[in-house]
Amino acid sequence: MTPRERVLRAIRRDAPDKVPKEMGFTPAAYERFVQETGCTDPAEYFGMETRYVGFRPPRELPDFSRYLRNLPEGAQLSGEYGTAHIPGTFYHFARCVFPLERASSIRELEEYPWPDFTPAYRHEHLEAEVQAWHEKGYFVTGFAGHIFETAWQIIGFERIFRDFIENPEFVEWVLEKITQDNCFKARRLAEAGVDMVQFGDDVGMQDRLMMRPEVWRRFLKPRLAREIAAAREVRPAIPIWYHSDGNIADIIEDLIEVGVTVLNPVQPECLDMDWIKRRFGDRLAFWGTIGTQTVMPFGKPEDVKRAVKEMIERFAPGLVLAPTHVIEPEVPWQNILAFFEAVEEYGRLTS
Amino acid sequence: MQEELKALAQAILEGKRNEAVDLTQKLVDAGVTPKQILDEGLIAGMSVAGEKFKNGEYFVPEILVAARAMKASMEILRPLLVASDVQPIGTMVIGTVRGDLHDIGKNLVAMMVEGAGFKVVDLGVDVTADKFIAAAREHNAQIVGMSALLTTTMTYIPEVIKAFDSEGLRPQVKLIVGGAPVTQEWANQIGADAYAPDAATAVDKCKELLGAA
Repeated sequence: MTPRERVLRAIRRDAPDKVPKEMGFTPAAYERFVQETGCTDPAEYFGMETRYVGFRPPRELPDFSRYLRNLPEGAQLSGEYGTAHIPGTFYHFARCVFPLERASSIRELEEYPWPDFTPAYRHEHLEAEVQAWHEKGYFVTGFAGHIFETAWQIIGFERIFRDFIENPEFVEWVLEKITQDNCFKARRLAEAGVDMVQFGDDVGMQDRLMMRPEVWRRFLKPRLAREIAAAREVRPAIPIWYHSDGNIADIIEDLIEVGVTVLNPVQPECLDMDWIKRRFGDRLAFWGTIGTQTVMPFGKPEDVKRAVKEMIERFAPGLVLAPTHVIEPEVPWQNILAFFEAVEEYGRLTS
Repeated sequence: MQEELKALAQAILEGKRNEAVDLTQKLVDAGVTPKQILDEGLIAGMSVAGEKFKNGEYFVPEILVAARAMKASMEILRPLLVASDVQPIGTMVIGTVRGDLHDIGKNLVAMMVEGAGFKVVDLGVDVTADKFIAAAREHNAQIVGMSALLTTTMTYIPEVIKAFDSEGLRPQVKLIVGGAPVTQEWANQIGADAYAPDAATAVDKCKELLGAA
């Protein structure tokens, strides 16, 4: 079975030969990987099944200087929506500067230098890249964009929450702009032949949603629905992956309704895993499930192995195993190895 | 003025800033003491907001607008409270620990603890043990609150606790911890005085630590 077929079957809950797996790395954890293995490609080294394609960056970034005055030294633009990052004192963590935090009128939004994803040079490579990965047998996916996260990174985190209540037209204008971009990206990814389109927004806290479910349903759900529909206009049955950290139990039914088929990262510290399986196991596949707040950083290798075994028993065949977040610097190398060893040991599904 | 005090509490609860400011000014002009306006208007409103957050009716947006209404009213009250020598019920120093830049949870705690009548000194993010200790001394804080979102940075919390130990600042300064990966069990292990899973519970715990519950 090719890696591609393995993942395709897993996300359809349809008897893969073994459970597929994935792991992402923060820069410091990646350096450790290179030191330990002498390799530079974790996906290749650990036999991960998934490869990623995406839009190329713009040739030229617009001039955001009037929106980002008095930036401290070391600050850099992050992405193309004008958000700047100020590096922190520790590892890769950075502070956001919000370019439109002080904007108050729709006119200011209209004048803002928004990105343009449509020029051919930004996406005409996608078909050939997807095909090249497919020829090597890999499962290919691409990310169509955040809505909420991109919006708050432009207008401010606390501000967007207040605007949901006090200034809904303003926040909707921003969300709408981003949604149009994401619809274009989702459609192009689907046209290019990816096996799954990814969407996501962190809207969960440890114990609940950040916002009332009704607020999510008003501002974000219909836009996610349109983005998914854009991909499905091209490929009606294409699998749809959705990411949110935290406890999002209140909106999983809504996600299924708008077309999500794969849920990520399914944090065991935040969600009742048995309830998730019981309630949604016949409609969703699960991508993630191995806790990065508990077992990956603080467990022993045998704890990691036990977690992998438990999740396979609970969720397979509809499971792609992965830690619930990119690996942070403090995760012991032995736990990383234990994860992959355990997938090998317990993940064989064909009798 | 009982009606207006109730209306003020309600305006805070609903995050109606302009209404809260107008009512506060009206109550001040009518001669109601700043202490009574604080207790029966601002703190009463924030207390209900906290209850609603705890029981899942309120989320981040509702707390943020309520806190902003409270802060706007406090701008009017603060000089009057100082002039009439009304003391806060306690002083808390709060921050997100070194290396960590996440602040929404810490900010919610600061707003709600302030809304319960404390003076809150917010040191922001990426705060070292030295800064926590210096601020606790400078402001005579009874409580220091520490937060971390990441497993990478939460391991700095016990270092701050050790620093307070070795400076001889405990038990007079109580240490309360929180943040997504932090649990009661871990808080016990590292010798924190209290743990709160959410901002509203943090208010209860701070009052308990003061013996003011």
